[in-house]
Amino acid sequence: MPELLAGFELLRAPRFLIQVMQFLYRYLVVLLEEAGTMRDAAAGRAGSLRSLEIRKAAGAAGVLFARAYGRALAIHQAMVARGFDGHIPRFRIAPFRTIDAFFAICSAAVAIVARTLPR
Amino acid sequence: MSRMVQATGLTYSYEDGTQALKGIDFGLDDGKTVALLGANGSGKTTFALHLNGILRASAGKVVIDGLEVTNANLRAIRQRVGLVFQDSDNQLFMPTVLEDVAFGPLAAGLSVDNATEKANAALEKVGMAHKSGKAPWLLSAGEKKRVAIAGILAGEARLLVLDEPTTFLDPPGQRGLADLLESLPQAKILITHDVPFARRLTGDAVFFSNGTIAARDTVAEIVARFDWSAA
Repeated sequence: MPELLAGFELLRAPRFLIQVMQFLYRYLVVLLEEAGTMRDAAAGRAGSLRSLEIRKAAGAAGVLFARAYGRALAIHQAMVARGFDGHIPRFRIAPFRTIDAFFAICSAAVAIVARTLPR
Repeated sequence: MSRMVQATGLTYSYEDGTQALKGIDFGLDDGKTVALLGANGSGKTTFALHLNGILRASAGKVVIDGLEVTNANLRAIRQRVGLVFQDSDNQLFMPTVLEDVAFGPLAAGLSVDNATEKANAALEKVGMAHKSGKAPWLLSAGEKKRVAIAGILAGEARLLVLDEPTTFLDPPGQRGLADLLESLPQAKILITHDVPFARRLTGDAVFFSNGTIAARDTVAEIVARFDWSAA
């Protein structure tokens, strides 16, 4: 994923989009862990998740959202503490290598062949 | 020995009107370590967040290394004060360990090469150089804590403020962290409920109570006076 993000940088994709992808990649696992912990806690008290009403499940989703919001605030605080002033500085952008050109040409060739093959 | 932190009459109220700090007077010399003890909600973390300007005093002032915490000095203050938060996952927000540790120097305006050099040196210092290409979420709790510390060392912080640093760490992880902190020359403020950890790193402790500093003494005296041992 870091390589993919670096590739998007190289292709001049919008910075905001790259940063959203970067944070999604970084924190999706953390949020899934939190959701898993809540699911286990609910199952532990309800006996099984199937016995939970939809309304209660919706409430749990609300709690998860609130937790995600709380975490976002904490992350922002940590970023500010380390000098974040509204934009994330660019790190090293990987150079465009021969192997990348080869990959791009091969991909384009496969796409063209697939498009021109008789159905 | 120069003064690293001087807080005078520090007062802070949250938006809902809760007065979290009530005229705190606190000082710490360069290179010294102090433990902040006290109940949850007594104002320890709120106090720490004033040290690099994340929260701004309602009254009173904070001076770090001769610089008052003001908007004009914020950048210099944040380079001097390194906060290590309780949950390292909140602190490690970049896709790889190296990029995360280099964030502070890059934000301070260093070139990518210089920032990378500083990040690699900091990772070497905390024994995490071999994980520089890893994603932070693949690290153990102890490793994440070390990387978080590397992140503030790379910025060349002169004051380390650690909020509950032993949370999530197993006993070997706690020992390793204590060894690492002992080896660092910077002034340190440890916010902790872990009395043995505090006792190992310093003899100096402050006890917070209801937004005030109730006492400053040795860790042993504070523990005895406020009945502050876990078992």
